[in-house]
Amino acid sequence: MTHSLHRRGDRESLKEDFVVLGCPATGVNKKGSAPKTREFLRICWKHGPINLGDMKTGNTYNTTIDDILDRVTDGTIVQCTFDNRERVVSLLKELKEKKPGISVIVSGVTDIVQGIMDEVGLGRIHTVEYSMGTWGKTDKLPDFEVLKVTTMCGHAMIASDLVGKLIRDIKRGRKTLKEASQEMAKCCTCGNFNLTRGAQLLGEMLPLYVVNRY
Amino acid sequence: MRVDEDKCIACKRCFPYCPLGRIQILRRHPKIPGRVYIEIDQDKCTDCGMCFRANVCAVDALYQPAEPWPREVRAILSNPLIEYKGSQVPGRGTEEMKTNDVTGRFRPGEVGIGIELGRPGVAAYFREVEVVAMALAPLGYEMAEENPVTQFMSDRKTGKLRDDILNERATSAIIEGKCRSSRWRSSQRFLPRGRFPSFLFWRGWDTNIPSTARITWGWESRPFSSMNRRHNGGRP
Repeated sequence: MTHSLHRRGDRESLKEDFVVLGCPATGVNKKGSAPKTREFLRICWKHGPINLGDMKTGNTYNTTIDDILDRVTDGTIVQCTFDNRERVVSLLKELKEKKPGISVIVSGVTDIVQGIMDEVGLGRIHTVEYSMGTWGKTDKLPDFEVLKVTTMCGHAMIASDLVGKLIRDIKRGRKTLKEASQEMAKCCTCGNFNLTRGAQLLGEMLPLYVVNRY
Repeated sequence: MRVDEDKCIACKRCFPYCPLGRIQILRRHPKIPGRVYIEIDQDKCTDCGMCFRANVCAVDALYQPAEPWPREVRAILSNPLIEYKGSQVPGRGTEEMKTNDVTGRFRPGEVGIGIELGRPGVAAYFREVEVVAMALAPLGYEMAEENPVTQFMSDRKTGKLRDDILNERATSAIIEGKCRSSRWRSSQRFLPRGRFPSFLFWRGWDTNIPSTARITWGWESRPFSSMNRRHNGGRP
């Protein structure tokens, strides 16, 4: 969960950015959780996530959905990223009906997630986790515009230099915005990277950034 | 992560994939005239394996040897593909509040606080992690047992880490635990702007740790009893 809380951006930028996690609990329902997690993934896949993955196997841009499903074991935590509120609503409606048997976590802007819960009929959010921001030597961080892109991989596996390289590639016509976004999604193995938002942010940065490294 | 100096042709394709930025140095090959290769600064590298996984090396010069203790903690806390056996969760933390609906890890009156050092893309030495952990300990902060950082402590009451890992570096290290919400509230009056969760962290920051830290906190928003009825048939 903490890794999806690294996301930066204003409300407008984050309002259509959701990560839905499926997580079995150690000592409660972890043993024998593999079929439940697979069922959760199948349900998520039906609702058209922009990205989906398992941290130890990879995401749909590194491998295939069948490979991810095959390699699910007891205790696997899976993640699906959505770029559309309505899809999350329809997903939660189905999950509410089918009860996958593992904990489901929705990461997004809190009041928007609460609105989704109300719409689905799930009531108040059960447990909340907030990020209180970054402290310390923040001058070591890259520019905020770059952070908005790189923090979509909460494990910090998307390098800030890669953003610069991809902007240069796009400007030189070597890659399209979509291809550049996919390149970053490959680095984020767990599938938290929102490609739609990534392409949008890169597009916004293009006229502003001049890159002369590498 | 290491580079085979006999294979590397210093094409620099792996450079932009390193989450920690420029930690590579160009060196002249001692035996092959005119050959330049890349050497990775082993003190700064956290063994996250991203350059290797990016699969951009045309000559397969990058490799990750099995590192001995204490260096192996770098990969445990930096490579998301590696699962720490203590927490049985891939990554650096635990399940935290993800499974609070069935585990009841955070009960009414308790606040979970996680302080993560190093991300995004800055990395932290364990000696910096120790500064923050030792500042937290007197608050009545109950460290999460399964968290890797807790496991690396030589004294959990004071937050002191093992001496042999202090000079190791990780992409991310999460100090994780919980305390009574009353403690949380009383601590807020010491905070610079009155809304940050831990004055102890403020103390940690004040010691000028050369890294970044991010604080997360979570709590149960529903009464525990209603949670049990809804989700787990009464299991605590």
